Amino acid sequence: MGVALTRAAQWTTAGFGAGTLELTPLNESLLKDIVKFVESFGTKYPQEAEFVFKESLQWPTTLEPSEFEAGYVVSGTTVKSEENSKDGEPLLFLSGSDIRVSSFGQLSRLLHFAKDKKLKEAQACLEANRDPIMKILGAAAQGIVEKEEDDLTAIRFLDKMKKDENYENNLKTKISLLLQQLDMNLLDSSLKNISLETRLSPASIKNDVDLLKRFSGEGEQTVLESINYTSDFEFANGCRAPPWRQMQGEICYLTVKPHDCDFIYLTCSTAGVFVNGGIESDTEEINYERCSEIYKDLVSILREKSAKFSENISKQQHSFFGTKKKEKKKKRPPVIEAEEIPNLPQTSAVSQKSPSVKRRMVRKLEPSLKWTSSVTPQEKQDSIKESQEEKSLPTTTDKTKSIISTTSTGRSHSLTGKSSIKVEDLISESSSESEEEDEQPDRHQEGQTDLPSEYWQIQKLVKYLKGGNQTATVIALCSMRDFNLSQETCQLAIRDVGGLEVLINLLETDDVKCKIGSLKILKEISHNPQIRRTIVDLGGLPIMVDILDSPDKNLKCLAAETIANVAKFKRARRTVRQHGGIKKLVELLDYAQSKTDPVHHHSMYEIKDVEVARCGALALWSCSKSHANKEAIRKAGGIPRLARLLKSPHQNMLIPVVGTLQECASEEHYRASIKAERIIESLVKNLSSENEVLQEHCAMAIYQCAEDEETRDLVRQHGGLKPLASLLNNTDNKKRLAAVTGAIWKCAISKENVTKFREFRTIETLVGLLTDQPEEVLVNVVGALGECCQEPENRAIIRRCGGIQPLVNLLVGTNQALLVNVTKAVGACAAEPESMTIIDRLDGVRLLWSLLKNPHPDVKASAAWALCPCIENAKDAGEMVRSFVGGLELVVNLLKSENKEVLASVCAAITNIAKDQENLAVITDHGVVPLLSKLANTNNDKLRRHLAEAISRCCMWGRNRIAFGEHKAVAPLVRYLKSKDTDVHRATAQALYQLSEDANNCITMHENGAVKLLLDMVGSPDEVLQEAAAGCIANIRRLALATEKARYS
Amino acid sequence: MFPANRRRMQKLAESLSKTSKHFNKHEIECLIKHFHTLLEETIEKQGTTGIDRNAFRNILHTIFGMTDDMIMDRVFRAFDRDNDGFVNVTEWVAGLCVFLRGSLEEKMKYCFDVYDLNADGFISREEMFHMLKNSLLKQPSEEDPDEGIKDLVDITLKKMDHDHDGKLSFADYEMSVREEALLLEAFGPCLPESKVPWEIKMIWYSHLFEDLPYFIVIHAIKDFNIVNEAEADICFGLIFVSGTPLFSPIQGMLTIWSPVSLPLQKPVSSSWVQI
Repeated sequence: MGVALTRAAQWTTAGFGAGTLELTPLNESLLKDIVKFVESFGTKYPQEAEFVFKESLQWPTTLEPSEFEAGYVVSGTTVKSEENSKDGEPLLFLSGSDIRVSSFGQLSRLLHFAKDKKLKEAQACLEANRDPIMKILGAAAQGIVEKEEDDLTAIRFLDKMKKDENYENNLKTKISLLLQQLDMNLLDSSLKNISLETRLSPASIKNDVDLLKRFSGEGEQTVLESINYTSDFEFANGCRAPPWRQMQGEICYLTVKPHDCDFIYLTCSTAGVFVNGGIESDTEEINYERCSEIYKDLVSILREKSAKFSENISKQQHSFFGTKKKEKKKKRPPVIEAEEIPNLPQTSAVSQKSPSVKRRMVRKLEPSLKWTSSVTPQEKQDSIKESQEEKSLPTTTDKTKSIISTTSTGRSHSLTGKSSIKVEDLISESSSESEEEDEQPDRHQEGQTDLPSEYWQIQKLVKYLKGGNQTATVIALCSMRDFNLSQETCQLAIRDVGGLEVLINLLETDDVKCKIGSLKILKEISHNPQIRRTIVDLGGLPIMVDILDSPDKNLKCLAAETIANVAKFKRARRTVRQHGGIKKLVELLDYAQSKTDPVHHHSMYEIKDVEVARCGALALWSCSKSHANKEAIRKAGGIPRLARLLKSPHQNMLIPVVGTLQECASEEHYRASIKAERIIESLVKNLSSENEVLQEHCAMAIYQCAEDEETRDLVRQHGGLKPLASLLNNTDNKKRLAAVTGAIWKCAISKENVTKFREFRTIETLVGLLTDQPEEVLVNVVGALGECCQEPENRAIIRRCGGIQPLVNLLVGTNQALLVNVTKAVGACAAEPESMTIIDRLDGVRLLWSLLKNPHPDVKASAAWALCPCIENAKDAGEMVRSFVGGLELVVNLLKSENKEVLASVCAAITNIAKDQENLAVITDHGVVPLLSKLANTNNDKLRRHLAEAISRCCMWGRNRIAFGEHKAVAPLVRYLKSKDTDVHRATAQALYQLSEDANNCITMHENGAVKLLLDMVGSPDEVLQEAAAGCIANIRRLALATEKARYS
Repeated sequence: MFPANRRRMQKLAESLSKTSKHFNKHEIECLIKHFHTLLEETIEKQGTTGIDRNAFRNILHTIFGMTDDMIMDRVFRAFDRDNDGFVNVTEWVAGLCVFLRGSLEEKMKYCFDVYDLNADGFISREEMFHMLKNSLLKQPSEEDPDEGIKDLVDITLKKMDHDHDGKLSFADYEMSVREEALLLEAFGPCLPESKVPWEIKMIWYSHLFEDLPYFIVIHAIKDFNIVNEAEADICFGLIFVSGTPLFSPIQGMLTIWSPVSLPLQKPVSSSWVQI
């Protein structure tokens, strides 16, 4: 067990001390085996089972004292076994959530009690006792067991066993033998598991890609048109994925263009290869989301995705197969592999080559390097050395390299392997240093065929930038600006001819004009995502951050604007922060301050100052998309400055300021400060501005901030609701509409605001927006209606303007957020019988019901909540519910969910369903009682309340009362009475009252101290609670009297 | 200075201040005084009324940090309006007016005059070549170094020659500069802004206050953290407006007069106060 655990089990990386077992299939099967072993231990080896451990195993358990049966002394929260060790210590001791066990017998009994928590217990036990054998047998025995691994010492061990005539030692060794057997079994089975899932390594992927690359290009015979990494940068560990993704086991990302379909974006991770979300055009970041199954390697996924690939690859099958097989055997030392390689060429295309070439190849071992992609770097170096030694050969590495670069099409043809020269190219190429160096000239060559004239002109200008003095540089910079810098060809041309390096270099000179010219260009071309990335790679950001300190305001502006453009992705934003850019940018905001000075002289400077502040805000806006930057902005004192700028009369300044605030408002701290700085007032004021973008951002900021109640009140107090409501009338600008409806939604959470909205007739307008709007608008509109519906008056309004039909129609959507809101709104409407008739007529209940099948727990829960008022208010609800085929079974099965909110909502739905006797009978048949009973051990008050209600309802049928008792639901229910929530008390008292109709339940309640708790409840001001509690006590008391009577008569 | 001289100077200042757009009478007085100082320093022969070419180049070099001989010659030509080989006091004040305070229009006019080597109203291809010939670093690999310059001239013409007549008229030049301010000094630095560190200008400015040692002015400005010309201009503007220097030495200590009116908040550090 010890070996298997330490070697095979996958522990989380949390560190040795606090490590927990990961939830992997492998671990699960290990645990199951261990559990099976321990469980059967008691019966199989009764003698050994009594053996007392050297040191008891101790772990935090989830078992309740009530779960222990005969053979244990239960007192309050502690449990002792009746079996004692020789020293009189109990073999099992539970106190609170801490359990100590010191014999196999007890362990197996414990697992027996634990039932479905077996695995959990076993896991907890192993996690707490990383070295169980040590504890069971003591340190000395551990040594024996470990030595035992060595076959030779087995005999010695037997000898020792004979010598040790001591009974206990005998037992010990027997146990250790048993454990060892288990260990072997475990290792065996886990080995099988492991061998099934080969984990990919950066090296193997690199080799695969290299190989495929050589087989790619234009032409019919190649397997792919192209295959490229998304990033040229390779980390020391061979990964190309950014470090935070490497944490997820991702190695690199590829863009693959097969012959017969569009670009495929792949993620290679240690677990396998899968399709990702591709590169997002606006942020140029990779969408890491997995969009396909995980395939075991690159070839198998490409086979699946491209028919052409699998067709062409099968032509190379023989060679490829060799590769794959080799890879699997990779655990062998490389030396062996190298020895094997000479056998391979006969299967490869090389066999067709002229004898001389063939001989040379075999001697150099290079053909095999070519055809087996599993070359380790070590081997590679060796082979390079070898080839250098054989300098006498006509083809030296350098020479062939030049051949490659001159014959650009050679690569694609080489696959066919028809000419021996081409193959030579390939061979020597495989010994060239690295992939990147190969790639660079390639790209240029590809481009040369159709390079636009701009390319050459830009190249010339860059030459003058490099070699000119200040005057020539300025001329070249100005001339470069004449090109259409928003065009990608020009942007990339500047990058490809090394212009970015020069431009960034110019930023470090003293010459203001050169800096200005350079920044003007960088500002333009940094709209291109690739350029942004290169600028960051070249270390441009820190220099720009330094320029922010420059006394020249023009420079400050340009630098800030360029930063605003570049900081569109995470790494860039982090760089800005790390170089203190945030603080400087925040300081730029101070510039627009000194306008109070009346001296005429200043006005010219003031315009510039406003511009500086605007650019600063613009850059902050970009930067504020990162969480840590938001914090940095706040720490640098950005909020009061932004608040001040918000009062500025300059419109173009307001947009970035509000944009930044809106980004930042997702943070709790910010919302507090925004309140404190009286920013809401300005936001509300700007809602009435002329500028649509500004209105949009203001609404967006209000949307973010209005999560907070005080803020909602502030919006109302500053008269923000009216402009919001009136903005609804203009529906052309969808982005603004989405923001405005969002703000209305959040504001509508406050009742007073809803009243206001009703005055403005917003509800009618919102209903009008329920059709023909994009989803992002709909989500907010429906959310707002859902909030408004909480008041009966508004429900009537919605019904009157025909809002129910479109709402019900939206129930068939797929957008999760929308569905959550729609179900909520429909549910709220259903609280009114008149609306309910409409919903019923539109078949809304069926739609809600089918949403219970939605994969998203939020949607499920929301749908279940919505069903409650529907069932409550529908005419003939029982019949309606029964009419849904399989509907009741579906609901009952949702009780197996893990999500507390789903469980609570389903319990509430069951409470309503169970009001109909017939339905109650059906759900009883579907096993609602055991499922509800199983949920009883919960600490969630919301769930407790609805669960108790459901139980009390379900008691009304047949022998359900007794069944709840049998399934041990009573004892936990009694504990609910200790909860602080009075709603829970009421529901529980009612449930207990129902349960107390059964004598056995009364006994359980009494045993668990229900009477005292209930007596307190009788004194409650809540009449329902009073009554239920009293009724329950009465039942218990009656039973007691009856028993007494029976005893004495 | 003799009272007669003083009267004459005041009269001159009076008349000049009527024509000068950017300097007031007091400033012009200072400039005239400074001109005479320069004249005394640089000219051995007494009796001349202007600064000759060499002396002027010397001034440009030491004060404004200009290095290009040809451009400095052209600057002298631009200053020396009457072409007598000397910059006299009127020309000096008028030149500096553009040099230091000129509007964009004045500066454009001035720069164009500097670049128009033969004063025919056009900057021709040859003139450009002449001005740009030292602008590229000699690269050993290049076959013909002139080729690069010619190319650069072509680029410049493409950029600036709006009427495509193969030469730059003032209209061409003006249009280009308005499009792109960086092209103001397209063919070489001929204005003080671009290169001259403000400290050097301060040295020069400090001649305007005959009462005050220039290092005090520099320290004062440094400690006020005036970092660029615009702020310095404001500072001096205020000084001239108030008509009194900000600083007056009292028993070895300096008192600051009303810095409140300045847009500068930094307090004066003790490092120079104790002189």
